[in-house]
Amino acid sequence: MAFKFRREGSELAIYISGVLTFHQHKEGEQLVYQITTLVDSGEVTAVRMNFADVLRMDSHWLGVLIRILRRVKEKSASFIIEKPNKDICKLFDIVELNRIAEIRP
Amino acid sequence: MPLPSSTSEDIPAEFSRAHIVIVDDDPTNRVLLRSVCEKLGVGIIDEAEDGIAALELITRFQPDLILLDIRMPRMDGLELMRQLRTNPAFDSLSILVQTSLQGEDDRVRCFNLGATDVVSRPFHLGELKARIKAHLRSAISSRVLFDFRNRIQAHIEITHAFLDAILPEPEKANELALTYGLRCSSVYRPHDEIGGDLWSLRALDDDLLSLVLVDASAHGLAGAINALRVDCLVQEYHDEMRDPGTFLNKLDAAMAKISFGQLFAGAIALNFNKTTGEIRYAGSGIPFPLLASNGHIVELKTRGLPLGSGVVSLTTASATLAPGDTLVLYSDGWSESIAEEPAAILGKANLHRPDLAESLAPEGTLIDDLTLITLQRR
Repeated sequence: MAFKFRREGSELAIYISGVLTFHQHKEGEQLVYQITTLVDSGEVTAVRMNFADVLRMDSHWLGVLIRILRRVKEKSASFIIEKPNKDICKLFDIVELNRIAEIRP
Repeated sequence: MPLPSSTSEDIPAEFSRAHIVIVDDDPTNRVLLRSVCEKLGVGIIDEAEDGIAALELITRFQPDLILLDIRMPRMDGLELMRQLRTNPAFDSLSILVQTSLQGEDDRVRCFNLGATDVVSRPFHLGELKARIKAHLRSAISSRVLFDFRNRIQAHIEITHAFLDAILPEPEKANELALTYGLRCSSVYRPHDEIGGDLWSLRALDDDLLSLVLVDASAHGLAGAINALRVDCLVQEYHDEMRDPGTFLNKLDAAMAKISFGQLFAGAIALNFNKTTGEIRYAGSGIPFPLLASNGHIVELKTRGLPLGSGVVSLTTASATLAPGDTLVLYSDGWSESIAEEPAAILGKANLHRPDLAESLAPEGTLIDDLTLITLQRR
């Protein structure tokens, strides 16, 4: 998997690609650290994660998302996940992620 | 031919614990080779005059490197290599053949019989020393990796035993289920040697039977550790299973408290009343159970964030398991490893097979831990 950041004012856009499973747990820790550092600094008030190129995601990465979401919410920032594929939408539906995050098709 | 000068700084300290066996029928060669090994700081050097004596030494001590002559009485070097390589214990043993056979075919034959490297006689001592160093380094790295693998394997086996102790045996689970008028079949297949799925079937009282299925985050050893942590909480809160929603909410809060945001799990909890056939259930972060009734298959929808997020707020739902109905509960390892929708697979299955869960599980490699449980009301 890979991810790249793009700053647009106070919005942080993250473009993720590949497979997100437990085997990518180091990248997950890196992502949590980088996003929470930027959100904690107050420079970022909106986080947008683009899932258009994510092929598959497992429950470990659901945990990664929830950890990011928690911190974003604590700092009253907004959180958007955009363009998840059908299988990932199904996973988000099972866990009702839309209750705590905005999910855009 | 002078021996090359040796400086202590380019000799790894690990060589003092290395073990070399010199196999040569010529005493002069053995003295020469011993001298090279001593200059390299090799800690243990043994000698053998032929293949038979060498085989005994090698089998007994499992050295790091063999310096092997080919032409010897009783058993030659080629036969010794053949015998060693047929024993899996010596698959990775480094064998450096030193031979006066100069032909390409002879050298190829040595490699085909299992030589790691071949050096020609008469020796160029600088080259010989460099090759011994290279092979010893490689052998020591292999030994370190082998030791590490053995330690990890031991940890996995211990963790495996812990998990085995808490996971229900399918036959015993079925025996318990039968006392509540149910037939239970189950499959538990970890993605790695051990996994993060967990399930339990327990009596709440004479009428109520409880079932909990947990899919803890991570796979392998980390997944198993997470599953064991969750199991402690499942045991602690089991009395709450009369109301599965409350049970999972408490589990979520407890996990969030102890896990520092690192432990998550999907879970389904239910209880079955043998008198009324009622199933009371709640689930969070796990695929919906399937209820097969009169030829129809319905999902028992129950949603929520994974346990451990600390914000799970579930209410208990209810359904009826009529005689002949089948309930299927599973972790996402099943849905991820089958080509069709779970309901479609279930629709084609013979629901009356005693090994129903086994028949539904896919063959081959899994991409996630798989637990599949079926309960059929008799």
